[in-house]
Amino acid sequence: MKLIFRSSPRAMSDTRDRFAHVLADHSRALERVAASYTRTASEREDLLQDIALSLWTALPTFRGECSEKTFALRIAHNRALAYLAKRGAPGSLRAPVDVDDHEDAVVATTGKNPALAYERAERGSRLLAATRALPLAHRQVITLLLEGLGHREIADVLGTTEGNIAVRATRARAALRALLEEDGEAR
Amino acid sequence: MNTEMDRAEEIELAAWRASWMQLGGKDGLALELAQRARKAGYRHRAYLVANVVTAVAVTLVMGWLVVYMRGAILAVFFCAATCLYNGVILTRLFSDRIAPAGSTLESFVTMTRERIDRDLRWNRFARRVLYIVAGVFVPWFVIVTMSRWAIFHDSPMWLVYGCIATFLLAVLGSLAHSARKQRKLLAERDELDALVAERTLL
Repeated sequence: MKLIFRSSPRAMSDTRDRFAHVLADHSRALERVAASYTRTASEREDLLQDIALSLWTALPTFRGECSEKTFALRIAHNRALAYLAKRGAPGSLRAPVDVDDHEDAVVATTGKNPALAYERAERGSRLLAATRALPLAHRQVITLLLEGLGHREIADVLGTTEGNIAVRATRARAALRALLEEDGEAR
Repeated sequence: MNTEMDRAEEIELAAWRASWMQLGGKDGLALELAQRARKAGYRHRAYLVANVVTAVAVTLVMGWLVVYMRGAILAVFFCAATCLYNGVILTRLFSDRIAPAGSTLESFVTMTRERIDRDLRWNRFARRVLYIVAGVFVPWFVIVTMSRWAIFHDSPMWLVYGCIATFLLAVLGSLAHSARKQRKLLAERDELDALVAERTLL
């Protein structure tokens, strides 16, 4: 376990403020990443807590080499990988899942027009289910692409080259398209 | 033709992004996460303090026992063994580091693997200690009980058998826990390797 000590009360307070600020800005993105790695609400909560704790301990080492969002997403993906390894093979999300299995509380249903909100929620839910059904290498790239990161930033998060990400992104998009079409036909 | 395809793909990605961004947004999540992380930090500190206090208290009691028994060999041996054990526990507690999640994936994976290997080594050490405890102290316990049977005979039997049973159960329970932990760590290492292999596939 990492020791959680700060050098002084002032440094501690600075870190606390920064932590609250980063979470306020990116908690929704972290929630989506956690949802793409887990199947149930309790698993998602566990993973989110792991991510938040890692962010809290890693924040003092952040020197602004990348954007805060990239840093937070890198932590989220690293923790998610460790989480999957710890949870072990049984029921692991490495195994493909059924695209129809997308009952999920992560889907937002707010909006002025309830019908439109429902339709959006349904689309988001199908997309999340399809993302979960992708192999890990594709899922990582597609979730980061959907978060709005460019190839260079994704390469930075996943610790690989831009060329590798470009190839993976093309294949991941094709796989996601096929899954969504398959799901659409099945309806 | 290519440009048209690219444009279509960009439109498709933008549509996916719009749907994706609708996900999440649980009320008060940021605040809840901040509070939970802080609480976990405090819990960790309390855990460290509890370990240090326990180690100091046990060492003081053993020291007192050595003085009280006027340096009897057995008391000195137990005191030395306890001090050694406490030293190992505290060194591990204060020198152990988990992989910093803010580092690159490669170094995160390397450090996670190192952490698992370290835990495996520690677990093997703990099991060996338990085997020694089970192999040396259990027979010693039986011999002492038999040789001083006259003393024990006058004491309530439930106390004698209760002490032996508690001791044996504690050793067996620790061995079972250690074996389970070993299996979990090995499974974690295999799963980590499999995940790393899978994520590097194109």
